Amino acid sequence: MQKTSEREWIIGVSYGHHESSCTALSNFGDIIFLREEWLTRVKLDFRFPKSSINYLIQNYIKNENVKTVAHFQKPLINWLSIGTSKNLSPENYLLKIRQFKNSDLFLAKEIRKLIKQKYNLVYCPHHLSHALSSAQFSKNKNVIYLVLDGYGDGLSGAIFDKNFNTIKEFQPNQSLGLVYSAITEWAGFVPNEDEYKVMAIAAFGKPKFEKFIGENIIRFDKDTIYINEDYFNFKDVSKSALLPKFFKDFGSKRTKSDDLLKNKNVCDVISSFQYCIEHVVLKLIQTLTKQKKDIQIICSGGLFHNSVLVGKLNTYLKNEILVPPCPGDPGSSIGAAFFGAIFNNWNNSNKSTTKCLDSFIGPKVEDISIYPKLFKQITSNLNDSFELSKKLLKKDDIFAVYDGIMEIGPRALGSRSLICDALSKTAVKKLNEIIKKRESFRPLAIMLNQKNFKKIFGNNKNTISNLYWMAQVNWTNDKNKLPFLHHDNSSRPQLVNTSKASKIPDILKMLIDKNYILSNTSFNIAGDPMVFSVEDVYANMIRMNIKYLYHNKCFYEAVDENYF
Amino acid sequence: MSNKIDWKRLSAVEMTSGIEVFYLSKLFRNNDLLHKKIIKHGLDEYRHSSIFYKYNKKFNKNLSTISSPHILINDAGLDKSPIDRLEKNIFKFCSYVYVGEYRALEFNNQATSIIKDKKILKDINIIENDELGHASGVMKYLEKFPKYKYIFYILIFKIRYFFQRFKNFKIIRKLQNNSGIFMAKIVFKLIPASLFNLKKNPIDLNTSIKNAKDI
Repeated sequence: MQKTSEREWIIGVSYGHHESSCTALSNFGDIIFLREEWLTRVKLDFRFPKSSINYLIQNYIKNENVKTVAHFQKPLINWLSIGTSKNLSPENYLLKIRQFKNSDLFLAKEIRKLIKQKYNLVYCPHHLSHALSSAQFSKNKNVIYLVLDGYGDGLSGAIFDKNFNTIKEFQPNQSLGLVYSAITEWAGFVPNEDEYKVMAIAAFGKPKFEKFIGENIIRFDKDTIYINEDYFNFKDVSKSALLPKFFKDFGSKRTKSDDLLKNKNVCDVISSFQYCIEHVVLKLIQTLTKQKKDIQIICSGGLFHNSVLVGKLNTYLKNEILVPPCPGDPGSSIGAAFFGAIFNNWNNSNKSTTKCLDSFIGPKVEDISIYPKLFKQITSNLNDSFELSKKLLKKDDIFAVYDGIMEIGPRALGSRSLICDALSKTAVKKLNEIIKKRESFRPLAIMLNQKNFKKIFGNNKNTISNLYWMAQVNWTNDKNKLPFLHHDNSSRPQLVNTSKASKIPDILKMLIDKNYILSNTSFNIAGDPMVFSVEDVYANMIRMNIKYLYHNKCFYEAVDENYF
Repeated sequence: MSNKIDWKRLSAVEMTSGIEVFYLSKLFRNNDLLHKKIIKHGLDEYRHSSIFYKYNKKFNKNLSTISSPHILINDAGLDKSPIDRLEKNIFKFCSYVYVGEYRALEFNNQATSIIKDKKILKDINIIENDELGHASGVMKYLEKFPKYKYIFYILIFKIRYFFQRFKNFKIIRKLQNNSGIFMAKIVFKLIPASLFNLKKNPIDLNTSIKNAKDI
């Protein structure tokens, strides 16, 4: 896409809570999404996304064509609604003042440094941003939007009807997201960052405390969520989210790097909370839909990063469930951009707000072929590349892919991926633990075709082929455990449509068409952001000792002259 | 003695150096050779970070990771860096990297005086040689240009680092923190609670569009 003066742009911005991001939306329906972490190389970077906006201005947008900037929340309401009540700790107030100084209240000042022209600045409520964002990924018109997260604009969730009228709001003391963060902290991980690790550990425990938690801590009753505030701190932002009663009932916080999987109590408690949260969300949706089986439930908010929860919902509910590729806060910059479009009445003049999006709305990957000092081309066409990829998979080798349009979610879908044969135990172990340096308890996701899906998972209801779909699926066959399966025999399959229209890189489509089952993980070392630029690709190949890279129909080698 | 060193912070500081060197590498895309050299410099910093992280795991056995954004941005100083992530001035950037390398060398000297473990000393020695190589490489590049283009920046960064030492004294930090708490308490005590209870508007789409400019 070239910079043209005929296009007008809206920039949606999300920052201040978790990972920051921005989305550019044009009046011609073009959309580009960027996560700030891709450019700053700081995983989960929460700062104002100035690198991303600067990237957009340098590559796609003329400064004078920015018509509106839309933020994903109301900064003042957000700042005021937690930690400002009387009789909290002095540290809480100090933190609030520090947060004020660095908060999104100064968004206008930050944007002025990048966009010199006159533009409108609008603010969309936090949960409405989530709902508007997720709406862009569904074709269905008969829908309900369910948003559940930790906290934002003084709420922890909301439910909207198909016209975005509010059906229900959830207060901060009903926050399932904060409960999950608190459990993450208790298990010795970083809250608001490592929740996915806790979810993986849940499979190693048994929900032994499910009854106790369901009766005393989290329950769904009379159409709403109840959380016992004796266990969790929802008010003081400077203190732990856990209160002494929690430690009394479940034991003290894990502080040393012992073998977590051998700690039965921790695994059982995590498993029990996972179970109860699943149960509450299930009940909530059942109450919402009652007899209306044809309504699609579009779920967003950080809680729906939990693929086990999404898998359970999809298994037990009769309604269709949809989770966008980026359900958390970064994804809501998409919603903010569409809010800006509605504000500008764009939906009346063109189709920019009625297009159904997919996961591939990031920028195009950079051209590595113009850096011969870094990369040496070793195949010259797709057929040769296909032959080489087959050889590599046969040798239990791993190759990287950097091709096409970047995917936007936290999960790699092929554009920036590390690939190996999912049926090879050696390759899967090597990729997960040696190359990616991930914890052994975290399974790798797979990509496969419909035929193989049926073969492995049977007639599981979870056969939605949305590329961005995140649910866990259970293995139905109990013979010879497959190397890509998690401890509880589940997996997160990515069903690949091998048609020409699919945006998956050609090499992966060809392999999957030939019945390969591929392990696919993001192209980065665990703890780093996904690769974005040529420099990141080269550095990651050297750091992970990956020899082969697929890019634009050809294979390349990193020229490293025995660096290490 | 080795467990008295804050390996975690060291590891994070090396990682932030690596990150900043990668920002610098993007400014050299039109010079194949330097581009690659700077990427390799960045890779060295990442390698140093993983060496320190290994010792953090060995001696402290805590659960923290260094790639956490709060550690990199707040603790390891990415947020207070005098170099903005969009910095385009090559001379300013290179001067910053040059002074940073010398600062790292200064630390290494301090560390070697308290560390007795031969293996760690060997690792620190390797890191020291890397830092020396980086510093001389950056200076070699800068010396291709008239001195007035960069000497001012070097001086500024040296002065800045000199004063940063005092900032790191515990007593100063404690004083800053206590006065901050005192002020925060006064502010929140003087302002009536009712001021914080904003009337929230409904969050449905139609009302939100009408109130789109409200913060």
